[in-house]
Amino acid sequence: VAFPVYIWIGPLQIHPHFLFEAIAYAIAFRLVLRGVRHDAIPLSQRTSIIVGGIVGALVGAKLLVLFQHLDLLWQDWHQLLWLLVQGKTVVGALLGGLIGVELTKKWIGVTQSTGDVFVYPLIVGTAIGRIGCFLTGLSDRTYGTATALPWGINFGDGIARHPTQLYEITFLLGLLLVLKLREKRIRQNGDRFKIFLMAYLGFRFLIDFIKPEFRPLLGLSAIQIASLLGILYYRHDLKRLIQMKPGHYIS
Amino acid sequence: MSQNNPNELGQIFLGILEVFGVNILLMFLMFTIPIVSIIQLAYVIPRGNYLFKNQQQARLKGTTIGAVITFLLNGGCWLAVMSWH
Repeated sequence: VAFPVYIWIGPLQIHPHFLFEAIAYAIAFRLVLRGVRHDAIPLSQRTSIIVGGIVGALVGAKLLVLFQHLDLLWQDWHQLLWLLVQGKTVVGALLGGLIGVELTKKWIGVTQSTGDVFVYPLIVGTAIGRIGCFLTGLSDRTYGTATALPWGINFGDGIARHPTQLYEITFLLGLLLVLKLREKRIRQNGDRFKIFLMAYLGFRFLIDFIKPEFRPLLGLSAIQIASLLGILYYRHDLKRLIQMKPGHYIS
Repeated sequence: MSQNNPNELGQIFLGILEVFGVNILLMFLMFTIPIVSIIQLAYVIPRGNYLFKNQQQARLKGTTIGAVITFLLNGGCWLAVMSWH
Protein backbone atom coordinates (compact mmCIF):
# COMPACT_ATOMS: atom_id res chain seq x y z
CA VAL A 1 0.00 0.00 0.00
CA ALA A 2 1.35 3.45 -0.92
CA PHE A 3 0.79 6.22 1.62
CA PRO A 4 -1.06 8.58 1.56
CA VAL A 5 -3.94 6.34 0.56
CA TYR A 6 -6.14 8.65 -1.49
CA ILE A 7 -9.87 8.08 -1.53
CA TRP A 8 -11.72 8.32 -4.81
CA ILE A 9 -15.22 9.78 -4.79
CA GLY A 10 -16.34 9.62 -8.40
CA PRO A 11 -13.69 11.48 -10.44
CA LEU A 12 -12.36 13.32 -7.37
CA GLN A 13 -9.22 12.18 -5.59
CA ILE A 14 -9.56 13.21 -1.95
CA HIS A 15 -6.73 13.39 0.57
CA PRO A 16 -7.58 10.95 3.41
CA HIS A 17 -6.75 13.41 6.21
CA PHE A 18 -9.09 16.07 4.90
CA LEU A 19 -11.86 13.58 4.18
CA PHE A 20 -11.83 11.77 7.52
CA GLU A 21 -11.31 14.97 9.51
CA ALA A 22 -14.33 16.57 7.83
CA ILE A 23 -16.41 13.40 8.42
CA ALA A 24 -15.25 13.33 12.07
CA TYR A 25 -16.35 16.94 12.72
CA ALA A 26 -19.69 16.41 10.96
CA ILE A 27 -20.53 13.22 12.87
CA ALA A 28 -19.30 14.58 16.22
CA PHE A 29 -21.35 17.76 15.71
CA ARG A 30 -24.42 15.69 14.82
CA LEU A 31 -23.97 13.52 17.93
CA VAL A 32 -23.62 16.60 20.15
CA LEU A 33 -26.86 18.03 18.71
CA ARG A 34 -28.58 14.70 19.40
CA GLY A 35 -27.24 14.69 22.96
CA VAL A 36 -28.36 18.23 23.81
CA ARG A 37 -32.00 17.34 23.05
CA HIS A 38 -32.20 15.72 26.50
CA ASP A 39 -30.09 18.39 28.16
CA ALA A 40 -30.83 19.90 31.56
CA ILE A 41 -28.97 23.04 30.48
CA PRO A 42 -30.91 25.65 28.43
CA LEU A 43 -30.04 25.52 24.71
CA SER A 44 -28.69 29.09 24.64
CA GLN A 45 -26.25 28.34 27.46
CA ARG A 46 -25.32 24.98 25.96
CA THR A 47 -24.46 26.53 22.60
CA SER A 48 -22.37 29.22 24.34
CA ILE A 49 -20.48 26.44 26.12
CA ILE A 50 -19.93 24.63 22.79
CA VAL A 51 -18.53 27.82 21.24
CA GLY A 52 -16.25 28.40 24.26
CA GLY A 53 -15.05 24.81 24.03
CA ILE A 54 -14.45 24.91 20.28
CA VAL A 55 -12.42 28.16 20.48
CA GLY A 56 -10.41 26.79 23.43
CA ALA A 57 -9.85 23.54 21.52
CA LEU A 58 -8.41 25.43 18.54
CA VAL A 59 -6.04 27.48 20.71
CA GLY A 60 -4.96 24.41 22.72
CA ALA A 61 -4.48 22.22 19.64
CA LYS A 62 -2.21 24.78 17.95
CA LEU A 63 -0.29 25.78 21.09
CA LEU A 64 0.60 22.19 21.91
CA VAL A 65 1.76 21.59 18.30
CA LEU A 66 4.12 24.54 18.79
CA PHE A 67 5.53 23.09 22.04
CA GLN A 68 5.64 19.54 20.66
CA HIS A 69 7.85 20.57 17.74
CA LEU A 70 9.79 23.35 19.44
CA ASP A 71 13.05 21.74 18.27
CA LEU A 72 12.15 22.79 14.70
CA LEU A 73 12.36 26.44 15.73
CA TRP A 74 16.14 26.43 15.26
CA GLN A 75 16.31 23.47 12.83
CA ASP A 76 13.65 24.20 10.22
CA TRP A 77 11.30 27.04 11.13
CA HIS A 78 9.54 26.79 7.74
CA GLN A 79 8.38 23.31 8.67
CA LEU A 80 7.29 24.53 12.10
CA LEU A 81 5.20 27.24 10.44
CA TRP A 82 3.67 24.63 8.14
CA LEU A 83 2.94 22.37 11.13
CA LEU A 84 1.23 25.29 12.89
CA VAL A 85 -1.10 25.79 9.92
CA GLN A 86 -1.70 22.13 9.17
CA GLY A 87 -1.07 20.36 12.48
CA LYS A 88 -3.07 20.03 15.65
CA THR A 89 -3.03 17.75 18.66
CA VAL A 90 -6.00 15.98 20.22
CA VAL A 91 -4.54 16.37 23.73
CA GLY A 92 -4.13 20.13 23.21
CA ALA A 93 -7.65 20.37 21.82
CA LEU A 94 -9.14 18.49 24.79
CA LEU A 95 -7.30 20.53 27.42
CA GLY A 96 -7.84 23.82 25.57
CA GLY A 97 -11.50 22.90 25.14
CA LEU A 98 -11.77 22.14 28.85
CA ILE A 99 -10.31 25.56 29.73
CA GLY A 100 -12.56 27.26 27.15
CA VAL A 101 -15.66 25.55 28.57
CA GLU A 102 -14.76 26.40 32.19
CA LEU A 103 -14.15 30.08 31.33
CA THR A 104 -17.42 30.27 29.38
CA LYS A 105 -19.34 28.65 32.24
CA LYS A 106 -17.91 31.21 34.64
CA TRP A 107 -18.87 34.02 32.26
CA ILE A 108 -22.48 32.90 31.75
CA GLY A 109 -22.99 31.64 35.30
CA VAL A 110 -23.32 27.88 34.81
CA THR A 111 -22.13 25.92 37.83
CA GLN A 112 -23.07 22.32 36.98
CA SER A 113 -20.90 19.87 35.04
CA THR A 114 -21.49 20.00 31.30
CA GLY A 115 -18.97 17.61 29.76
CA ASP A 116 -20.90 14.32 29.66
CA VAL A 117 -22.75 15.20 26.48
CA PHE A 118 -19.43 15.58 24.60
CA VAL A 119 -17.93 12.20 25.54
CA TYR A 120 -19.35 9.90 22.85
CA PRO A 121 -19.02 12.52 20.08
CA LEU A 122 -15.36 13.04 21.09
CA ILE A 123 -14.61 9.31 21.11
CA VAL A 124 -16.29 8.65 17.76
CA GLY A 125 -14.86 11.82 16.16
CA THR A 126 -11.30 11.11 17.33
CA ALA A 127 -11.46 7.48 16.15
CA ILE A 128 -12.69 8.54 12.68
CA GLY A 129 -10.05 11.28 12.50
CA ARG A 130 -7.32 8.75 13.31
CA ILE A 131 -8.30 6.69 10.25
CA GLY A 132 -7.28 9.74 8.20
CA CYS A 133 -4.03 10.07 10.19
CA PHE A 134 -3.19 6.41 9.50
CA LEU A 135 -3.99 6.61 5.77
CA THR A 136 -1.91 9.82 5.46
CA GLY A 137 1.25 8.04 6.62
CA LEU A 138 4.58 9.72 7.32
CA SER A 139 3.60 13.33 6.64
CA ASP A 140 1.01 13.18 9.45
CA ARG A 141 3.77 12.57 12.02
CA THR A 142 1.50 10.37 14.17
CA TYR A 143 3.34 7.11 13.44
CA GLY A 144 5.28 5.08 16.00
CA THR A 145 8.88 4.02 16.38
CA ALA A 146 10.43 1.09 14.48
CA THR A 147 9.26 -2.37 15.51
CA ALA A 148 9.96 -6.00 14.60
CA LEU A 149 6.40 -6.99 15.57
CA PRO A 150 4.47 -8.71 12.75
CA TRP A 151 1.88 -5.91 12.52
CA GLY A 152 4.50 -3.17 11.98
CA ILE A 153 3.58 -0.94 9.03
CA ASN A 154 5.94 0.47 6.42
CA PHE A 155 4.59 3.94 5.74
CA GLY A 156 6.93 4.42 2.81
CA ASP A 157 10.39 4.92 4.30
CA GLY A 158 11.24 1.20 4.38
CA ILE A 159 10.95 0.96 8.19
CA ALA A 160 8.26 -1.14 9.87
CA ARG A 161 6.69 1.06 12.53
CA HIS A 162 4.13 0.78 15.31
CA PRO A 163 0.78 1.81 13.79
CA THR A 164 0.02 4.03 16.80
CA GLN A 165 -3.03 5.50 15.04
CA LEU A 166 -4.59 2.00 14.92
CA TYR A 167 -3.67 1.40 18.58
CA GLU A 168 -5.52 4.61 19.42
CA ILE A 169 -8.61 3.62 17.43
CA THR A 170 -8.64 0.25 19.24
CA PHE A 171 -8.26 1.99 22.60
CA LEU A 172 -11.08 4.43 21.83
CA LEU A 173 -13.46 1.66 20.74
CA GLY A 174 -12.59 -0.25 23.94
CA LEU A 175 -13.21 2.86 26.04
CA LEU A 176 -16.55 3.38 24.29
CA LEU A 177 -17.54 -0.21 25.11
CA VAL A 178 -16.46 0.08 28.78
CA LEU A 179 -18.33 3.36 29.23
CA LYS A 180 -21.48 1.91 27.66
CA LEU A 181 -21.30 -1.25 29.77
CA ARG A 182 -20.64 0.69 33.00
CA GLU A 183 -23.12 3.48 32.19
CA LYS A 184 -25.37 2.64 35.16
CA ARG A 185 -22.48 2.94 37.60
CA ILE A 186 -21.59 6.42 36.38
CA ARG A 187 -24.08 8.39 38.40
CA GLN A 188 -22.49 11.69 39.20
CA ASN A 189 -22.99 14.42 36.64
CA GLY A 190 -19.68 15.04 34.87
CA ASP A 191 -18.07 11.72 35.80
CA ARG A 192 -18.39 10.26 32.31
CA PHE A 193 -16.31 13.14 30.95
CA LYS A 194 -13.73 12.86 33.73
CA ILE A 195 -13.33 9.09 33.10
CA PHE A 196 -12.99 9.68 29.37
CA LEU A 197 -10.46 12.49 29.75
CA MET A 198 -8.27 10.72 32.30
CA ALA A 199 -8.36 7.42 30.39
CA TYR A 200 -7.46 9.16 27.12
CA LEU A 201 -4.70 11.28 28.69
CA GLY A 202 -3.31 8.20 30.44
CA PHE A 203 -3.31 6.31 27.14
CA ARG A 204 -1.57 9.19 25.33
CA PHE A 205 1.02 9.48 28.09
CA LEU A 206 1.94 5.81 27.56
CA ILE A 207 1.61 5.54 23.78
CA ASP A 208 3.81 8.59 23.18
CA PHE A 209 6.78 6.62 24.54
CA ILE A 210 6.67 4.64 21.28
CA LYS A 211 6.54 7.75 19.09
CA PRO A 212 9.69 9.42 17.77
CA GLU A 213 9.05 12.77 19.46
CA PHE A 214 11.22 15.59 20.77
CA ARG A 215 11.51 15.08 24.56
CA PRO A 216 12.83 18.25 26.15
CA LEU A 217 12.01 17.63 29.83
CA LEU A 218 12.72 14.48 31.91
CA GLY A 219 12.54 12.40 28.75
CA LEU A 220 8.92 13.47 28.20
CA SER A 221 7.36 15.13 25.16
CA ALA A 222 5.16 18.23 25.41
CA ILE A 223 2.07 16.04 24.84
CA GLN A 224 3.08 13.73 27.70
CA ILE A 225 3.66 16.70 30.04
CA ALA A 226 0.27 18.17 29.05
CA SER A 227 -1.37 14.75 29.62
CA LEU A 228 0.12 14.54 33.11
CA LEU A 229 -1.10 18.07 33.93
CA GLY A 230 -4.59 17.13 32.72
CA ILE A 231 -4.66 14.04 34.95
CA LEU A 232 -3.39 16.12 37.89
CA TYR A 233 -6.29 18.54 37.39
CA TYR A 234 -8.73 15.73 38.27
CA ARG A 235 -6.47 14.04 40.87
CA HIS A 236 -9.06 14.41 43.65
CA ASP A 237 -11.59 12.33 41.67
CA LEU A 238 -9.08 9.74 40.47
CA LYS A 239 -9.54 7.08 43.18
CA ARG A 240 -13.34 7.27 43.14
CA LEU A 241 -13.50 7.13 39.36
CA ILE A 242 -11.13 4.15 39.08
CA GLN A 243 -13.30 2.24 41.52
CA MET A 244 -16.43 3.55 39.76
CA LYS A 245 -18.13 3.89 43.12
CA PRO A 246 -21.66 5.21 42.71
CA GLY A 247 -21.89 8.92 43.49
CA HIS A 248 -24.91 11.13 44.00
CA TYR A 249 -27.46 11.78 41.31
CA ILE A 250 -27.34 15.43 40.35
CA SER A 251 -29.43 15.31 37.21
CA MET B 1 -24.85 36.14 27.94
CA SER B 2 -27.79 35.58 25.61
CA GLN B 3 -31.53 35.28 25.86
CA ASN B 4 -33.37 32.12 24.83
CA ASN B 5 -33.90 32.19 21.10
CA PRO B 6 -36.52 29.83 19.67
CA ASN B 7 -34.55 29.59 16.42
CA GLU B 8 -31.13 29.33 18.08
CA LEU B 9 -29.95 26.25 16.15
CA GLY B 10 -31.23 27.60 12.82
CA GLN B 11 -29.37 30.90 13.31
CA ILE B 12 -26.19 29.07 14.33
CA PHE B 13 -26.44 26.89 11.23
CA LEU B 14 -26.90 30.00 9.05
CA GLY B 15 -23.85 31.62 10.66
CA ILE B 16 -21.73 28.54 9.87
CA LEU B 17 -23.00 28.45 6.27
CA GLU B 18 -22.31 32.17 5.85
CA VAL B 19 -18.65 31.79 6.84
CA PHE B 20 -18.20 28.64 4.74
CA GLY B 21 -19.78 30.38 1.74
CA VAL B 22 -17.51 33.44 2.00
CA ASN B 23 -14.44 31.23 2.56
CA ILE B 24 -15.21 29.04 -0.46
CA LEU B 25 -15.49 32.20 -2.57
CA LEU B 26 -12.21 33.52 -1.12
CA MET B 27 -10.45 30.23 -1.83
CA PHE B 28 -11.52 29.72 -5.40
CA LEU B 29 -11.79 33.30 -6.64
CA MET B 30 -8.59 34.59 -5.05
CA PHE B 31 -6.73 31.27 -4.64
CA THR B 32 -6.04 31.81 -0.95
CA ILE B 33 -6.42 28.16 0.10
CA PRO B 34 -3.21 27.88 2.19
CA ILE B 35 -4.03 30.97 4.25
CA VAL B 36 -7.82 31.19 4.09
CA SER B 37 -8.01 30.66 7.86
CA ILE B 38 -5.98 33.87 8.31
CA ILE B 39 -7.59 35.81 5.43
CA GLN B 40 -11.09 35.04 6.78
CA LEU B 41 -10.33 37.17 9.86
CA ALA B 42 -10.63 40.29 7.67
CA TYR B 43 -14.28 39.37 7.24
CA VAL B 44 -15.10 37.43 10.42
CA ILE B 45 -13.89 40.03 12.96
CA PRO B 46 -15.95 43.00 11.66
CA ARG B 47 -18.91 40.70 11.00
CA GLY B 48 -18.67 39.32 14.54
CA ASN B 49 -18.44 42.84 15.93
CA TYR B 50 -21.56 43.84 13.98
CA LEU B 51 -23.51 40.79 15.18
CA PHE B 52 -22.44 41.39 18.79
CA LYS B 53 -23.53 45.04 18.69
CA ASN B 54 -26.87 44.04 17.15
CA GLN B 55 -27.50 41.36 19.81
CA GLN B 56 -27.55 38.56 17.22
CA GLN B 57 -25.87 36.13 19.60
CA ALA B 58 -26.91 32.89 17.90
CA ARG B 59 -25.67 34.07 14.50
CA LEU B 60 -22.43 35.20 16.17
CA LYS B 61 -21.99 31.71 17.63
CA GLY B 62 -22.46 30.18 14.19
CA THR B 63 -19.95 32.60 12.65
CA THR B 64 -17.40 31.70 15.35
CA ILE B 65 -17.95 27.94 14.88
CA GLY B 66 -17.60 28.31 11.10
CA ALA B 67 -14.35 30.28 11.46
CA VAL B 68 -12.87 27.75 13.91
CA ILE B 69 -13.79 24.76 11.70
CA THR B 70 -12.13 26.59 8.77
CA PHE B 71 -8.99 27.01 10.89
CA LEU B 72 -9.03 23.31 11.78
CA LEU B 73 -9.68 22.06 8.25
CA ASN B 74 -7.44 24.54 6.43
CA GLY B 75 -4.29 22.40 6.41
CA GLY B 76 -6.15 19.30 5.29
CA CYS B 77 -7.94 21.31 2.63
CA TRP B 78 -4.61 22.46 1.23
CA LEU B 79 -3.38 18.85 1.18
CA ALA B 80 -6.55 17.89 -0.69
CA VAL B 81 -6.03 20.55 -3.34
CA MET B 82 -2.34 19.68 -3.72
CA SER B 83 -3.33 16.06 -4.36
CA TRP B 84 -5.42 17.15 -7.37
CA HIS B 85 -2.35 18.60 -9.11
